Amino acid sequence: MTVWKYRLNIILPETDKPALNALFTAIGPETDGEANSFGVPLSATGQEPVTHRGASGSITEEMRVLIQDIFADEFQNSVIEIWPNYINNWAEFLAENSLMAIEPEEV
Amino acid sequence: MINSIGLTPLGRSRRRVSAFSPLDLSPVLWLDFSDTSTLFTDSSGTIPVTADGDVIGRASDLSGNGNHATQGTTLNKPVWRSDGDGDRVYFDRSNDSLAVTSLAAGTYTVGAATWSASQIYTHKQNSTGSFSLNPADFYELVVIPGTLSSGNEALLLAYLEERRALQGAVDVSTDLFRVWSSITSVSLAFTESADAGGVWAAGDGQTGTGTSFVKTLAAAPDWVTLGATTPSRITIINWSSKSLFGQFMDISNLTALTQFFGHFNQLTGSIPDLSNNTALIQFYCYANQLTGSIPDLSNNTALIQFYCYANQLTGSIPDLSNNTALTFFLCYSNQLTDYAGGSVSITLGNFQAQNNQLTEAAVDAILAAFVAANKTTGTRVLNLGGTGNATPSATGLTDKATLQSRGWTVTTN
Repeated sequence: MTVWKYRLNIILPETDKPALNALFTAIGPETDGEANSFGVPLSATGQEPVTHRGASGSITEEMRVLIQDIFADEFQNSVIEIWPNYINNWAEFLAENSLMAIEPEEV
Repeated sequence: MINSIGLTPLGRSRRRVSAFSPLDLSPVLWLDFSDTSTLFTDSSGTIPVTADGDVIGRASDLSGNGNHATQGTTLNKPVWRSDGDGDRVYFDRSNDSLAVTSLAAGTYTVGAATWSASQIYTHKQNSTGSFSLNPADFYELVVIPGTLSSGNEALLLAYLEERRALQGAVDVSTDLFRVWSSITSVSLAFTESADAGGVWAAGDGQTGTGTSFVKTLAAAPDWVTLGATTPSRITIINWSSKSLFGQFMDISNLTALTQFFGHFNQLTGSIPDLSNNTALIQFYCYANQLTGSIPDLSNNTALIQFYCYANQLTGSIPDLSNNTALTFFLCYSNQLTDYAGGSVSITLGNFQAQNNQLTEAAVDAILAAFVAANKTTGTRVLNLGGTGNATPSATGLTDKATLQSRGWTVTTN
């Protein structure tokens, strides 16, 4: 039985987004949808331009091993936290890294 | 809760908790997150949800229309919770969502039994396409075409309340300053002009004092009650982006309040009466789930910025004649229909009301008010376009041209 044991918090440089979305497309349990894995736009001010991307979601032990061990080099520029699945500290994670989500604003 | 073979103990008979069933209203979408037979960890619907913490990649539609809600990106999948507070879907408020890919354009009534309340609200699908579930913790969601009669609305609300009760849902108090958060560590602050005697209490029985603190909740979501022995000394409240939900708080006794930041939460209910908050300079309640109308702002003569965009507000844009210091008024992406009239201040240089349901008369009246204000310097942005607003009449177009000749960036349909 698959156990969604952990919560992954991750921040990566904007420049790493295409490569890591492609990697997740290859290793993730879903198919095409994994290309949208790292989609939350971030910056220090919460305004454009996007400097980083982020994601927070549940992962299995197998996915944790892929991220932290097997593909560690691919994620070397990323900030990664792994927590028990019931923890949701996304807001604190962003604050600790001095980043804010860029919310869509219509003008 | 589930038993050892993964079946819900009460089976499908649970759905008909009263003589009424949502099927009686011919819904286009009906999701029941307490029924694990309809929930799957993958978006194709092959791996069933079985345990607390499993991700949800698909929630099957019980309406019979095949409008299944799916999420094909693993990190964006919400989680199924079965932790003693009822079986429900939990969205993490960072990137989680479930979407129905092709809901026809039109007006819908949405009924939701959530962790904190039962809600019924109107959703306007402007064009056929994706319908995303709001990031609340649902037990059950029903989407019905059109609007409901008051009788059917009452039946649906009673049904949703009954479903919440069956799940053992918490009873959200409407106490002043009781807020709920779905994150484990919540930092809530207020600033005072002199000792206001700030006190707080939390759902785990802890209490404390102070005007700025970080409360680590034992198990989110949980509640925090804030109070003060002298509320009239509180000048600033900053509770933005704290994953707060429940009813919007009454702030009528905060007579010295100058700044209120409650944006980017999931607060419900109406914007409260602000007539006592005469010192208010900035009021941010945008990006919540607020309903009802924008309150009368005629007493808020010190107001400089009022942001209420991205909610579900209805009714009129209020008369702003008394708000002579106002510079920003952002009410876009609501369901506002009218403008109460009156003048606008020459200080008001950024007015955005796009993506509402404004009538031609309302659009014309707003354009005329800005022409009359005759602002020719500084920021000059007026947006009445987007989806839903009417086009201006010939008179309105003349006013638009006048404003453009004065250096305004004006957008209309």
